[in-house]
Amino acid sequence: MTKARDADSTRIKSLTKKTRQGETYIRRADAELQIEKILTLEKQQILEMLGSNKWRDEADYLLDETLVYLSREARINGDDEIFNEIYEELNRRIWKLLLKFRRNFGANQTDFEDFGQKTEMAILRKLLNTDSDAADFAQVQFGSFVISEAKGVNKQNLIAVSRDQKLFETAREDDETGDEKLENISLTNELSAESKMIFSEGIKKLSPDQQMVAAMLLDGFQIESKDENEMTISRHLGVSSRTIRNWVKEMRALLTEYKEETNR
Amino acid sequence: MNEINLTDVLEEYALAAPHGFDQKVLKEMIEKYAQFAEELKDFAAASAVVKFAPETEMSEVDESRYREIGLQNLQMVLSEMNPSAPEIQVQNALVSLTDAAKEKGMNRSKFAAALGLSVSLVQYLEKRRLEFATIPKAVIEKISGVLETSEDVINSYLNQSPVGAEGASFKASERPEELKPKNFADAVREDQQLSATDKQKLLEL
Repeated sequence: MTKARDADSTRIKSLTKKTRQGETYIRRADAELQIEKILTLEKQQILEMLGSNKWRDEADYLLDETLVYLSREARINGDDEIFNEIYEELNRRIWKLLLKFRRNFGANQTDFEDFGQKTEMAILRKLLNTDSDAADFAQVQFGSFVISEAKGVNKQNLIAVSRDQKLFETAREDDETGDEKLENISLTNELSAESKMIFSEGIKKLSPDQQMVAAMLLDGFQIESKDENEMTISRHLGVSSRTIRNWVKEMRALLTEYKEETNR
Repeated sequence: MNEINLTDVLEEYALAAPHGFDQKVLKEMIEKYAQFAEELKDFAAASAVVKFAPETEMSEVDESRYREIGLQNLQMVLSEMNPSAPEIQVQNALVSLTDAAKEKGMNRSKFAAALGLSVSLVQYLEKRRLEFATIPKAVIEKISGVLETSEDVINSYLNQSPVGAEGASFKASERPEELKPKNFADAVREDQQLSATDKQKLLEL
C-alpha cells in the first residue's frame, strides 16, 4: 500500500494498514501525542532529545513507536543525520529486547548474534520500506513487533526453561497426581495487587527461570488449568505445576526479603 | 486468495489483546489459525517477558558489538534495497571478518579451519586484539583469499582500534587489560586449540 507524502511536515501521518477484519491500525494515545509534539520542534531540538539518553520512566523519554515514526520520516525526507541518530538508538533498544531471550542460546554467543542479526534484518526490511505499511505495527506496539519478527526467524520457542533446570525438576517432580496438579488453580488468584507490585518491583532479584515465570504470572497466565485447551505456564514450559508452585514459593520468600530490605 | 503469514497472525493476536495475556483471544486465534498454535502460545509468553522481565545491562563491549552488528545489518538491508549503490557495498565489505565469512556460508569454526587458525585466533583477529604489525602477511593473504576481498580491505580492517575500544568513554588509565592488542606469536604460543605442529607452522610464517 502506497502512502501519499504529506505536504505539511508538522502534521502526523495516519497509519494505513488494516486488520483482517478491516480496522485500520491506530497508535497509542501517548505515542500520538508525543509525535505531534516533536513535529513542532526544530531539527536541532530533536537531535538534542535523541542525545539526552533518558530512562524509560523519565519525562520526555522518546517512545519506541515515536522513534519508528521519526526514522521513517527521516528516510522519506532523506535526512541522514536524524536517521542515523535514531537508528543508533533503535538498534540499542532492539538488542536490549532480544537480550531478554539470550538465555535460550546457552553459552553460544554466535548463535545468539545470528538470531539477533536475522531478526534485525527482518525488522529493517519493513522499517526502511517507506512505500509499504508493513511496519505500521511497529508504531502501535514496538515490543510485540520485534517479537513477531523474532518468531518469524526463530522456529524454536523463545520461552523455555533452561535445560539443566528442566532435567533436574522433571526427575524430582514427575510423581505429581492429578489432584495435586489442580491445587494451584487458585494460586494466580492469590496474587493480590500488593503481591503483583512486589513481584514487578523485585523481579530483577530473581533467577532467569523465575523471572520468566514471574513475568507470565504478572501478565495473567495461570500455572495450570482443568481445561486442557487452555495455555498455562506449566504446559508451555513443559514443567510440572508442582515445580512452578515451588518456584513461586521461593520467589515469594526472596521478594519478601527484598521488600523488608527496601522498607528498612 | 489472501495468504496468511505468521507475523500478520501474531500482530492480530497482539492487537486483540493489547493489555496483556488473554486466554479467550488466544483460544479463538488458535482455533482460527491452528497451523500457528505453537507460535501464538510462545508469542503470548514472550510478550509477557518483554513487558515484565527487567532489561539486561549491556557492557561497553556489548554495546559496541551490537552497534557494529546493527550498522552492518543496516548496510546490508540498504544494499538489498538499492543494489546499485556502490558506496554502501564498499562500506559493507568489512564491518566484521566473521560476518563476512558467514555470508560465504562459513561459521567461525569453518572460517578458522579455512585459515589454518584456531577459533580463538579468529576471535583475536575479529576483535582486532592482535598488534597489526605482528600479523604475518601470509595470514592476511589467506584471509583475503578466503573472503574473496582485497588485502587492502583486510589490512584496513585489522589496522584499527580493537573492537569495543572505539567510542568507549572510559579514561585511558581505566582501559581494561583485555583490550590491549597482543603480539601474534604470543597469541599462537598461548593458544589452547592448535596442535604443536600447527603452532610451529604459524610461528614460521
